[in-house]
Amino acid sequence: MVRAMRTWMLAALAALSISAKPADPVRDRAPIKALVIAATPEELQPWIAKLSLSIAISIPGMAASFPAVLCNADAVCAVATGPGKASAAATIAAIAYSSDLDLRSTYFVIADLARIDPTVGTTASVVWVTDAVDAGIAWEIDARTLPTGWMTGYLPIDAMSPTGHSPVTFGTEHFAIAPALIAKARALAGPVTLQDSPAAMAYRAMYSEPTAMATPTMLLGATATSDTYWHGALLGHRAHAWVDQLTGGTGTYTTMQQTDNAVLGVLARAAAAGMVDATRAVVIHAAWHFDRQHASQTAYDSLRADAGARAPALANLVAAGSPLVADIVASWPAWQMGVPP
Amino acid sequence: MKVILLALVAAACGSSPAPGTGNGGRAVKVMLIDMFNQEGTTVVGQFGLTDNMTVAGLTVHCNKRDICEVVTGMGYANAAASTTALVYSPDLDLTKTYVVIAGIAGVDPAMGTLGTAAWARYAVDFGYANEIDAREMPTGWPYGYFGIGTTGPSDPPPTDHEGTMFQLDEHLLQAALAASQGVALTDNATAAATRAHYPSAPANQPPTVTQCDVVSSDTWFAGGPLSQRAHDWTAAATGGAGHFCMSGQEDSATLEVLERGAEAGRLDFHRVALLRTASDFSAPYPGQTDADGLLGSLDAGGLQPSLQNLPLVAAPLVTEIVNDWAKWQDGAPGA
Repeated sequence: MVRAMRTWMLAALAALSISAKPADPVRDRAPIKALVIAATPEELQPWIAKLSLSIAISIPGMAASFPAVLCNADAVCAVATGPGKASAAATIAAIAYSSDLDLRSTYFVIADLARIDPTVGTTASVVWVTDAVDAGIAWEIDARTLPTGWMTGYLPIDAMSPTGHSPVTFGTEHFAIAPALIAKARALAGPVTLQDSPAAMAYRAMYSEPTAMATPTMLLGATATSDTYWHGALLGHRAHAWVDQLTGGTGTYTTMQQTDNAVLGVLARAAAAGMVDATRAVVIHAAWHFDRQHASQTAYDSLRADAGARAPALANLVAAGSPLVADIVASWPAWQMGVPP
Repeated sequence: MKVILLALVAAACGSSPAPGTGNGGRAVKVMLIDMFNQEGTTVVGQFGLTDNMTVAGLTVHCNKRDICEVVTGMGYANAAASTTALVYSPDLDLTKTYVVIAGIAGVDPAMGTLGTAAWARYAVDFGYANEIDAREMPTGWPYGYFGIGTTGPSDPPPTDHEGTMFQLDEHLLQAALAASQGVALTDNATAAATRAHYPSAPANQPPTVTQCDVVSSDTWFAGGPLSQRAHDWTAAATGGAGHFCMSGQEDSATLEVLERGAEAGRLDFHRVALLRTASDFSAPYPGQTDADGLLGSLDAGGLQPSLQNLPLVAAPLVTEIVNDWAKWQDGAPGA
């Protein structure tokens, strides 16, 4: 009787894609189809509503602010890692190295609010990230005492100038997102009508760059990650040059945020341990602010200003990313094999 | 439906022992955590860690006295990934393990010198912050870093962020200090020549074993203003009790994972010690520019003594723990 109930229960759990630490942790688990990863609970909230994520699965080692993965009956799950690299890496590692979820064929939808370079795009825009570059793994000195010819106080570790190359490899400096996955996700998103707000419109009108003054769009671009949430034109210029250098000129710096390279770095490590397929990660950003001031503003005032775009950015993030998640569920047999043509 | 299922889940958990609850794996008395291979090499050599096991893709080096070592890889992401793999592995039982994080670092010349070994009471996160390039920051600011959600550098760190500061166990810290106080530290002529440029002690004196605190950031900062920020931020994050001396690139991430692991019952956070030895100065000597100090750090002679002093300073504590396990198995003596 107990055995029969346990068998039934495992079947029921498999159908719901959750597990109760089964006897065979690999065979008894149903594969998770998609895991949405946000930095903060605020960023995850619209996904929770959109995807009806009502099953909580606690996994030891997650952030105190978000101690359980939330899932639905379609085997779609979501997590808020906590802000910053340490929390993001600790949380994703806890999930990825756990035997509680089968993530070996899972698609990771990393979805963040980010700040955008006004020379590339504007607030409330959606960015499909091509490359994630770590801007924090670097040497730095204060920028007021720079040697002649240095444009910034940041330089590659063990290099002799900001334009030099580092002989040191951490392994998390640069991740290129699979182009086929980006293309498929963009195609599925289709012609999404992006939300905007009067406050965002008024704020961006103060910028002089045509890219900043335009209406929100969907674009492709590279992101820079750092715990150090920099702001201002000078560090923005540095981020542009840094991304250019680390991508060999193929990536255009577009957004900045605090967690992506930590998440992607842990996925790469977990992939090496056979726990996930790190090529199944896609990164979507929506711009809630600019990364630098407009012409009649200081960097500090820009950092502290309300750009009015947080609500539309959150809505656009989900609008752009959820068709991908829906298609993964609807056509799982195809997606399980790889990105469908 | 959901309620019923959750009840059944709870019943199932009770009916079969969950794997990986810390009882089935290899019991470790001391786990040394290094960050890169050169640190690992000297530690593995010191303790004769020739018995290798593979844990979730990581190589863990052990010996028959239950001393083990792992290299996490550099930076926050690698440190967190490797430490997580270790903490939740069913192949290891860390519930009574003493963890010694042991790495090299930059040292504040006001607090130490090349080769100095510091046991930390506090580990403070430096990188999680706002930054404005110092050339366009508000007038009067000492540097461009300030806490997220705060108004400027004179504000204390935000209180709503996990991982701003960790405090290590005082009994274990005192035991580590006492055990290592008489260690003869390695030095070399190049390091001695570099020290001689500094006008005062402790920077211009031979290295010692000391107690002072660690800041971490993926960004390896150097120079006067950023060292000042490390000093100020450490003080602010610790209520004035902490004193910045060592800068590294992993400890806050490693400790975040260990703290969560302790909350999950996988280990005891009171058994975690943090040791950093100085490979370079975090600030230049008078007359030297920040850039020259940083660029010259690789040739300053500190790397070899820092690498060699790491296991030398850790050894007395590690040896005491394994030799006198009966005394240590229930916690650091005096705790």
